[in-house]
Amino acid sequence: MSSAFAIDPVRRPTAPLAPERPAPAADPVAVPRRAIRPRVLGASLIVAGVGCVLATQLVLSIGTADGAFRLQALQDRSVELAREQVVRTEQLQTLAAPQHLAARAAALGMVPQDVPAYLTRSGTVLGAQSVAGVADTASTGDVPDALLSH
Amino acid sequence: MRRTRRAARLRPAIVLLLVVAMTALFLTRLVDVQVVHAGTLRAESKDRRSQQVDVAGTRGDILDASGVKLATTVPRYTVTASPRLAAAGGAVRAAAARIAGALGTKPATVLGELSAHPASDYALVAKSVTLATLTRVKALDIPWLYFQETGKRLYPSGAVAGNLVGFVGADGRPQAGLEYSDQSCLAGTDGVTEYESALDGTAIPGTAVVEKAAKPGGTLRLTIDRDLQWYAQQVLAARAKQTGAKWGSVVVEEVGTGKLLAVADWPTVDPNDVNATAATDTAALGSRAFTAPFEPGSTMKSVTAAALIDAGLATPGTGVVAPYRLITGGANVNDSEYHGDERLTMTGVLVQSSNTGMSLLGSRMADAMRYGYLQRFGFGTQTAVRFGAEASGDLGVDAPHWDPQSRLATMFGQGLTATPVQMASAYATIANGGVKEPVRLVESCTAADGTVTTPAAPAGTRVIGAAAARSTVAMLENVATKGWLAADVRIPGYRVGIKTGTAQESDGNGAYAKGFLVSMAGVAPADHPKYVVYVDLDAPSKMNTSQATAPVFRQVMARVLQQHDVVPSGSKSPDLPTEW
Repeated sequence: MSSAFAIDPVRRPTAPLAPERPAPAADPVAVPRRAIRPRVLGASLIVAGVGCVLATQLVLSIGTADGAFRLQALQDRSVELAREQVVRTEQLQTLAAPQHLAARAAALGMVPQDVPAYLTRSGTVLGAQSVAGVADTASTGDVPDALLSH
Repeated sequence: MRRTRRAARLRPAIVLLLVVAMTALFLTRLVDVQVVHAGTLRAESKDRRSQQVDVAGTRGDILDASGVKLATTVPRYTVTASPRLAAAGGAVRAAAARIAGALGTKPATVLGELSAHPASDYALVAKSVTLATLTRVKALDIPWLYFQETGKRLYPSGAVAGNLVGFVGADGRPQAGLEYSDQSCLAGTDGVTEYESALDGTAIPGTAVVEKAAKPGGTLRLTIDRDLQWYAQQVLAARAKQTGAKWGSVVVEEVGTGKLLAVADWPTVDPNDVNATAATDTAALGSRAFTAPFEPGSTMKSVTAAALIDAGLATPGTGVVAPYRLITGGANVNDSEYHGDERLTMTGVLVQSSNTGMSLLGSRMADAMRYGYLQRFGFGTQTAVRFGAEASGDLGVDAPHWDPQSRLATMFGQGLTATPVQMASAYATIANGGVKEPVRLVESCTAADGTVTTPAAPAGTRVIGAAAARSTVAMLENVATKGWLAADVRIPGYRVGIKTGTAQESDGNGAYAKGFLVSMAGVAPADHPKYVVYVDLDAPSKMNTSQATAPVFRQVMARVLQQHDVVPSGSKSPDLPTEW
């Protein structure tokens, strides 16, 4: 029972302690003047840096966009050229038809050697020995080709 | 104080509750939309925003033996318009005139297309235009025109091998020849691409999704040599016109491999312009060399002779007395020209092409045995090529129990039918030391992924012995050097063996027609045969003998020997006695 009173039952908020000694007044004159300039310099450097970064970014994005346009133009040209190549290949195949080649050869005066002849290294001729005849353009046009007549 | 405290505690609790409730609501809705109804909603949205486009699988090429394109697909373009948008845009007449100018058609046609169904979103303005035309139309910058790439089947060599390659119809579907029979190799598989589209149908770039990749068709490579095929067609056509023949064929087969280097028909179709032939001569749309059998005539005598030698029943020197007319056991056979009885060896029988002589010699062999030889030589069955509608020929009614006339007639090539390819194959067998190689037209099929498939071909079969084959070739050389066409078939420096044929044709009413079906079969170089050439011309009105075929044979054989660098041996043909 006596222990119940061992604890102080009522604790009133105590009055604050004696006020502390006031902090010494700040001496504005005591702050060195040099600290101001680094702050301005630093800030301006940072701003300039940010500006440079932004400028670089702008230049790069302009360059990329420009490059993208050029790339697109070149890709389009590549597709165009591929198509053109297909068209030219088709024309080439049509002109390479044997009827056309034979007719052109005959028009140039070429005569097909109907009978095979071979020249050996010793100078003898194996097979036919004949004089070339006259080119006959009429003997090349009997196999039709609708593509050539267009 | 208590109430405010409770109220103070209550307000945030209520707010919290509300927040939780709202969150729960959103969450439920989220789950509902994203998980429960996801499928339905996605399907619905697709219908409204995306379009499916079939991407055609390009048809494969047909190449000759060296890779030259005989058939290929080239891009063409289709121009369509939206009449509805055109009308909305105004100035349709002027635009139609400009479009017609770019296309090279009449303004009225274009205007007609645009005004036919004014409310429709689709009108076909031009089908299958070239890139140059497309560029001109695109340059007009008309917003309601749409362009699509399609394919057109092109045959760069025209009618060369047109009888074999076949052709496709206007819709691109194959209708004849190898285009039709080898569809499984050539056809591509269509793919499907889906892309998102705006309300007016314009495709949104970058949204294309390939649902199923289009697979291009495979490449079909043939054994045909395009240049030789052209030459054979050219020479055949020129000679057929010169001699007034109704039709003709040339078959060139490589001995030892069975490869067909050229199968020429005349007249023949140009697959680039099928209508020109379809209108005048439908039989020329296919390949007569494969599909039209006929009674071959005296070229069959070499087969009978080879069989006799192989069976040991005769030799090139066996003698018979050949009359002009032979009447025996119900048969009546005569030679082409009147002559007295001639003492001919079997070689002489071939040189003179005596029907009676051949009948006497052939009668030494039993019918069943001779029938067996004919079958083993490949007559009466389709060749291994199995060309579309290829004919198997006919060995005669009730063969081998022929009636007396047919029994003798089949010895010299009448009373049975064969195709030019079968004849060439028989001569190739004789030239190949008696071994028959399966005839080949298709070399291989290369699929898009690179897999190469070669058609299944059985191994070669021995028909006659090597000695019998050599003896037969020697007899053929004698026909070439001593026969009446010796000057026409001579290729200086080379040893050539030939046999002529002048066959009577059926007139369709049970009798024989007036014109002959003339033919020539030959092998060269006879010392080591490499090539067989078979030529036939039907009823050449201006020259009704096998002399009509002689220059065709000589030119084609000379060309194939030259092309393949076969050096003339310079040795002389054997000299066998023709009389005894």
